Amino acid sequence: MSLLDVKDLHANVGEEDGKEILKGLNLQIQAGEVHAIMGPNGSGKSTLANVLSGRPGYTVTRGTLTLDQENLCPLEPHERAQAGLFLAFQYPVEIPGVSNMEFLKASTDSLAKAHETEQPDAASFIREVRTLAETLDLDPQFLKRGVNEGFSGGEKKRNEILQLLLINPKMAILDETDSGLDIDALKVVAEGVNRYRNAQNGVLLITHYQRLLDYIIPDVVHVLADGQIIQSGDKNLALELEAKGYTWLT
Amino acid sequence: MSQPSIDDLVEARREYSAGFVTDVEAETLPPGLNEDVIRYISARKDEPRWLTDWRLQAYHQWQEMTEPDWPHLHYAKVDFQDISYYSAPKSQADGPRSLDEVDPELLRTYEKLGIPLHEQAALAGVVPDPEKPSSNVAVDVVFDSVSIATTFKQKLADAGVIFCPISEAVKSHPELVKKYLGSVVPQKDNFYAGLNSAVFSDGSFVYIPKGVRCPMELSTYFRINERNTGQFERTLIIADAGSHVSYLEGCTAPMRDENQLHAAVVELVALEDAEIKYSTVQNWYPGDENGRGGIYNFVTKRGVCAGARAKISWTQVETGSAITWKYPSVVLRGDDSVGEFYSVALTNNRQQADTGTKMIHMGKNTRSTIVAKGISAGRSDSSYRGLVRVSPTATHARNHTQCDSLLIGDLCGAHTFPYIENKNNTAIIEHEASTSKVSDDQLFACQQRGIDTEKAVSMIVNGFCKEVFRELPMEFAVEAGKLLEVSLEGAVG
Amino acid sequence: MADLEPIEKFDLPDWLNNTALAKDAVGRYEFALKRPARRELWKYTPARQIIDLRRLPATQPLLSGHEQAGITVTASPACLDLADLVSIQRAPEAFAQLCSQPLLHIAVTADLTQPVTLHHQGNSSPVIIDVASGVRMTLTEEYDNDCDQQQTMWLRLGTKSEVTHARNTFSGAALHWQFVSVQVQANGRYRMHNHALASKLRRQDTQIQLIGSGAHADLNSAVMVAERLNLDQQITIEHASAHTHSRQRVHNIVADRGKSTFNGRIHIHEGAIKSDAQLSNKNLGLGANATINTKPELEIYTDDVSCSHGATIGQLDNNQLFYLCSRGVAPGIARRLLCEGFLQQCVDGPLAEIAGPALVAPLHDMGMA
Repeated sequence: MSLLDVKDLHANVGEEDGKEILKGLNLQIQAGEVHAIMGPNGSGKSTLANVLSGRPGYTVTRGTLTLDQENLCPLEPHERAQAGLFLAFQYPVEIPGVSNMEFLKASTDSLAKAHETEQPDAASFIREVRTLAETLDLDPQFLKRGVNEGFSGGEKKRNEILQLLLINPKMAILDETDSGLDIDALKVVAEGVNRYRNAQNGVLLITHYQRLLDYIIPDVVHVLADGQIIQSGDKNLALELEAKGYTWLT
Repeated sequence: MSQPSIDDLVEARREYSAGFVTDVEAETLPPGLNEDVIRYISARKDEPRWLTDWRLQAYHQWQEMTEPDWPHLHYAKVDFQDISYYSAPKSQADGPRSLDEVDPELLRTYEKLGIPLHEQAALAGVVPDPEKPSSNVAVDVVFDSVSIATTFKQKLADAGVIFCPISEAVKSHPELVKKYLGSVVPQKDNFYAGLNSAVFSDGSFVYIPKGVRCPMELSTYFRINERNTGQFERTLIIADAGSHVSYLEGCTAPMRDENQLHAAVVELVALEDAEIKYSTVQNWYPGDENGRGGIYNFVTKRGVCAGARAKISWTQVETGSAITWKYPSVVLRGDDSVGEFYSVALTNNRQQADTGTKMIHMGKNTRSTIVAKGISAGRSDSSYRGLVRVSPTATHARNHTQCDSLLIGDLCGAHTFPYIENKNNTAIIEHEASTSKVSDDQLFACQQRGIDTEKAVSMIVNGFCKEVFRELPMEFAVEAGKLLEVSLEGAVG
Repeated sequence: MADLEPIEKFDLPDWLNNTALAKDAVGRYEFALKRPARRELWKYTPARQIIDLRRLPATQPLLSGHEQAGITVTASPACLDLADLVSIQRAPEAFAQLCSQPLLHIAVTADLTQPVTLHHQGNSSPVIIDVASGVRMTLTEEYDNDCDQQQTMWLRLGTKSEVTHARNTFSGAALHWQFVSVQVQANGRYRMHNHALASKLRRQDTQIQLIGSGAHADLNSAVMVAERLNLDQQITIEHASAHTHSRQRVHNIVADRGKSTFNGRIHIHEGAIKSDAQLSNKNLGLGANATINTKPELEIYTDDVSCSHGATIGQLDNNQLFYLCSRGVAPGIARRLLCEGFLQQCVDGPLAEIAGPALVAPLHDMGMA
């Protein structure tokens, strides 16, 4: 059975009568696999990330979506997170007044409660977070500041990866995590993702450029166009797209 | 639209360009206000009984009211009994049928003022001047309380647009006037509106039928001529469902030693899906550099977005008046309706301005935008006073307000008094205000490139006002730039 | 206007006589009551109930930290020259308090290592605090009683002095008026940390005059107005000298038919060149319709200054909410975290630790566990 199973997914932006963006999307990701979805602007990449994570503002009109055989459709965003889904945002939001530490603690406590596991004690939690921060080249002082406050674009993305490693979900969706990053930042991010991946979890990389895939080697590459996956292949498909452009396929 | 270049801007002159008097016979009432004066005005205009009664009702209510007492304005009290409430140039006894019948002296006056009446004259029957492009502005001219010439009647009539003096509309379209007069600014609304309702002389009446986009911009010029005549125009604009109209108001006045009163009322009604754009470039005589003379400008302007998706925009450039007291407002009653206010208020010498807007959010999903730029120079005082009120029923109201003040010199004042009263928790309201001066760095940069100080200040001020000038119809935008220049002369020593 | 009239006449106290303040004091007082500007100050709040608080008998607040070296406390001083500190025009009601109640005078002449705390037992007699040049101190206020009450305080900061003033107003007093007037001399620094819950009617009047060059005022205020309660804040900062600075950050949460009024007036006097004044007022509306009135004012009489203010009214940010939920945090908890964070931005100073949880306690009653 697939870890992430998407069958014939149709979704509109807005209400039932809104514009249809996803027009019958099929995607199966097995445990241990990394899939990449590439596509031109307007193909529905952001919508896919938003619909999978349950962001308000979209309506699923048809199809199924399960994670580890659990039906995600009726679940609220926090319930999907508790079910094991993680979304690394393309544009992480700033939350002044709520410290990074408070935020991380609230998240891990909520998840521990849902999974009925023990919440880590404060001291070891802080230690764990600091260690992760250092591996991602983030000054641990940031923990006292507001969430993403004063962060550059690259630092925000690294904060997303820190959360990925801390939460250790079943399935990670990375929404254009590489956008706006220079080579060094990209390498740090990729190293974090590679540390995360194992035989039990899955990764879905939504990306516009092939560059990230040099560092996070995908098992399968899909092309999304006009709300559907029109082509799938191995990592070489990404290289072909880079050379020939999207119009080659569409 | 493009900004006027430095070359286009008028050279600063000492004399106020419109400071002259027209020598025309006028019929003027002796000063004083009582019931008889009101009956006389009504009779001279041959008004129906209901309107005379309406005036008298307003007068009685006005007698119970007291003049407002604003902490920021200082002026010699007006003696309302010392003003004449009616003045009409004699040759208008029968009214002109075309420009040919207009007193040539008057036409010369308008030429001096630089308004495009002669350009319309070409289309109205006078031999066209091939060098002058035809203008698309219909002008209804008010000269000391009586509308003189209304041109373009035919083109407007073809579109079904009614644009005429209100004195005429009272007879030709009484049902419309009766329905809407006082519906936006009731007689009891405030002291000056009350006075106006009793003694209003004339003004424009506009009606745009359903779905019609008015084919040209409508315009009215005002002038106050005689001594001690208060000017009491009354304007009523109704845009029926789906219609669209752009209206320009510009005024000028001659030099006088005594202060003259101007208490106008403007009412706008926009029905469903209609849009009214009302622009004012105001050039009243501001008083000399010692603050003597000049116009007292106490105006009540209000628009109602009566239907869903209606839109009303006020754009104003105010540089004249000794005292300005005006708050063009929009009542956003219809769902999804929009109100806008763009304003530049410039004060110099000893002028005082207390101006702003009121946006009253009542319907659902209403939006308002306020951009107010105040420029103070000399010993003047400029205040922005605004109100954004969101009623409990006004779900998802949105307002954005930006007030900026530019101070020139260390003896002037710039003030901001924004009242925000919110009673609905789904509203999003954002207000920002900032103050700055013409910086030495900016001035030096201009000077280093050969631009003299006065021109440099003009440029910087124009840039400061760009956001508002952009909203003005083309005809006015150039005038606005020139006006700022003339008004700023002597501000930077 | 009748609502704003004083309840009774008062006699001038002995300590006032023969000082400059006494000159035509009653006349100036009556004139001050009639000014249109005063009407503005009471526009959104019923004045009668607050003014009537003057009827209540007053007791001296208890003090702690007053036994340090460098502090002199005098109850009912025989004479005091307050002409330059007290303005009848600006604060006629507080002036009436000065005249009708015994005073408490505190003079601080050396740096203090411990804070001085005023423990208000209810209605307090007026307190006047003189901080000498170069002296640094911390002042805190506590409210030990829930009865209707008012407190008036006058602070005079000498040149180069530094005062940190903090108060947590969480008492359930139905009617409460807090008046503080501060005068800061050259290069002096006044910092106020105001954390408060609303009550049936709570009014905070703060008047700060920066009268010496280089004077500085910093004001942080975090307020929670819960169900059907009312808080009215009137803050005026006068920049009366060149090179003066002020910063104000006022965050209010107004929920469920609560009512919040904020008037933040910045007045830059002629000649106060190179002054810098910044004001930020943010209001967060929650739940059923609350009333939020805000009026940040700027009155500026000279050009070479830097002033700006901003006021916003809004709700919790949906993007921030989603971010928290996407990390597994339930919506109710997420909303509470965001509300806490919103107020936390303005919580600081010696009383910050207690303030944080107390400010958000009403949220639990609103179902944001």
